[in-house]
Amino acid sequence: MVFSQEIASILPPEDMIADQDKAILDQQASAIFKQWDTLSQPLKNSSVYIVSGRRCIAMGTVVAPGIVMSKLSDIAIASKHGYPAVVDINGNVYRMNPLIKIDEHDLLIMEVPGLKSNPITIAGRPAQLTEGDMIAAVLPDGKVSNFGIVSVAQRSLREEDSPYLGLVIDPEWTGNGVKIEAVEFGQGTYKAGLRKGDVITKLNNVELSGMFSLRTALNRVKPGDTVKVEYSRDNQQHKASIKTTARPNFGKFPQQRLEVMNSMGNRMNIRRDDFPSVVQTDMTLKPEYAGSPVINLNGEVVGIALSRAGRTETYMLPAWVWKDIIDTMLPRLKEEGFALKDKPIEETQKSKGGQVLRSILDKLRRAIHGQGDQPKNY
Amino acid sequence: MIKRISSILTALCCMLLSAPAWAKPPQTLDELKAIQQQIHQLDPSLSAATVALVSEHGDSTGSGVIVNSKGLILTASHVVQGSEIMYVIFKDGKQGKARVLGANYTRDAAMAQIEGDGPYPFVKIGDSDSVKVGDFVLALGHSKGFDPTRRAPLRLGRMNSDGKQRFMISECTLIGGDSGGPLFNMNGQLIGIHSSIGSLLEINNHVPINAFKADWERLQKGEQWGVLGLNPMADPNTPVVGFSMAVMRGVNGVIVDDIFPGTPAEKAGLQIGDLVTQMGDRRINSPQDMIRELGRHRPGEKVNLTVIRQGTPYKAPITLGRRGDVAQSYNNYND
Repeated sequence: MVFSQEIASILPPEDMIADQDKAILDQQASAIFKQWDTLSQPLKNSSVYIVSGRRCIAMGTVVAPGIVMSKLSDIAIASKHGYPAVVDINGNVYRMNPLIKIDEHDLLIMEVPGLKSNPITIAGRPAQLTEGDMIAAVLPDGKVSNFGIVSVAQRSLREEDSPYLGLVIDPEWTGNGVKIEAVEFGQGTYKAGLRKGDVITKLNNVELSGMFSLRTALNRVKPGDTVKVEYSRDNQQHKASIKTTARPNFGKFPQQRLEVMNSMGNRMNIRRDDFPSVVQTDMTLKPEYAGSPVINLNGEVVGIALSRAGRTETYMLPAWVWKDIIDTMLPRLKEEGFALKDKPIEETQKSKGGQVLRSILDKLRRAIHGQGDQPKNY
Repeated sequence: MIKRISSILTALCCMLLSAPAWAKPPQTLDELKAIQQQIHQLDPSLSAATVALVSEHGDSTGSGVIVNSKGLILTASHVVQGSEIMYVIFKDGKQGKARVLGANYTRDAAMAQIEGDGPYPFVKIGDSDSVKVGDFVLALGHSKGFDPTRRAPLRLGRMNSDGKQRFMISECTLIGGDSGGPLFNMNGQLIGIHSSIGSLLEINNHVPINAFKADWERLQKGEQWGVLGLNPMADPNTPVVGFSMAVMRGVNGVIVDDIFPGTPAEKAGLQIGDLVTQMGDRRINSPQDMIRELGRHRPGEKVNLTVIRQGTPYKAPITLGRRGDVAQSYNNYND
């Protein structure tokens, strides 16, 4: 019953909108895009096509002279047959050398020797995005591909895989540790004997300084692991062990049906929704436009399009996340000439480049945890 | 004296006549910014009234919207079908219960009542009949089901149909979990409830709010009737003209192939061979157009058909009949 109603049609979809209405809608769209194009014009030649086997597989944003940033996974998949080529708006073809690989955010920063382009510039702190902001992805020709609004402010899409304690924290608590507002009956925290009002001071020997530190402390914990906690109740210190579980599935829409609906008239990227810091938008995006720069209504670059993830969702990586990486790594790459060999710099490497990248990414992770609307359900 | 009064009057008239910047299709960047500003303004109150609805067994998950301070919820009938009680999850994550009231399954409309004292945040109801093609609208809903790590995502789009369609169509993309969620005009008034999607991104179907208004008391009293996913051709409450259609290659319009006795087509004097080219000011080029346009009307409404008979155009005023009242033979034939 639910199935037949979710997908309903009296007429075939092509016939559901009257021709005379399409004419009005197209005219209107034309006028709106003309306005957007005045904002995106300065970004002409600020992005490039990433081409493999004569097919455009992604876009790249030119973040510095000769340096392009794009979506790692789509390029990696195509790279099985050799690195893809970079093509600019004038049809010139270039080779690329991967410089920095960041798995977490699905970014690849590459050097494109001889690239004639118009690098984007972000002056100062990138503009923050709030729900309702209008944004548009920009193509190499300086025109926007589509526009939408911010549907959900920056968050991690990996929350769902994080271990579940079964407690709600008190967001108003300003003291040390994390104060419990409510305990879910039957879940790990309840079973361990903790109750409303208890203040958890340590988790797995890590001192909890507040709400955000709890999330960080849970970073390496997998659902099903048991965590050791120290908590205080009525000025007395106690210890307990909480067995975490996977986040309960109650209220989730059946996965298989979602897959059907997500594919109706919609193509998606392969890696599309396990990012730690993204902004969700309703803007439609062709999967091969991942890597495009995204602007706001002031014409400021606010992020890079990361993926088309479903019928209702496109994800973008906000500019402040990668601006620091670019601003810090690139000059040091030049000055200190990190030995690249043939492999791009990765966080896991023991090399100097790997160390610097690691420290930037750690700083970013702390900053990411300090941003956005923190869930209170753990 | 007179001058000053008249200038006040002029000023008043200007204020009354000029619509706010977000109320019309944007032509300039400033107008786009005004819409953005209006979205920021409206979002907190709209999302406070948007809830997730989950059946007691967890097998049905959708959305709803609160329309009065006592906690009356409007939703889609297919979300609540088979349930007497639904879990309600509010924006702040708190959970409550709601009793399912009435449902009009044919129109996919239903009501529920939150069990609790309130007062609850609620939204104002608008008028779906005045919604036009191209109007900007806002959609909220718990896409893919309730997710404690994120609010009900906000979406902007334009109307692809007007508000008179059986199910209004908008560009606001919907997916499972959004059903029952609210569609708002740019004044923040509720104009639709999400119902279904089509196999193109631009086909997102909503129950027009006027369908709720038409049966408000029945729904509030808990009456349930109708059939989900009913083909309008089989719905006794759909309008009927009373002729079968033929097409001719290269000809824009529908040709009257046969007229059924006792129908509005017969009463209006339509003849076999007539070419219908318009219904009101809406162009009819094909049987699909005819089916779609009929969907914008109700039995009893008067429409003018533009008909060409032997090269001469004339207007045939028709009072639309009710499919259920028309002779059985008509229904059998027209399948």
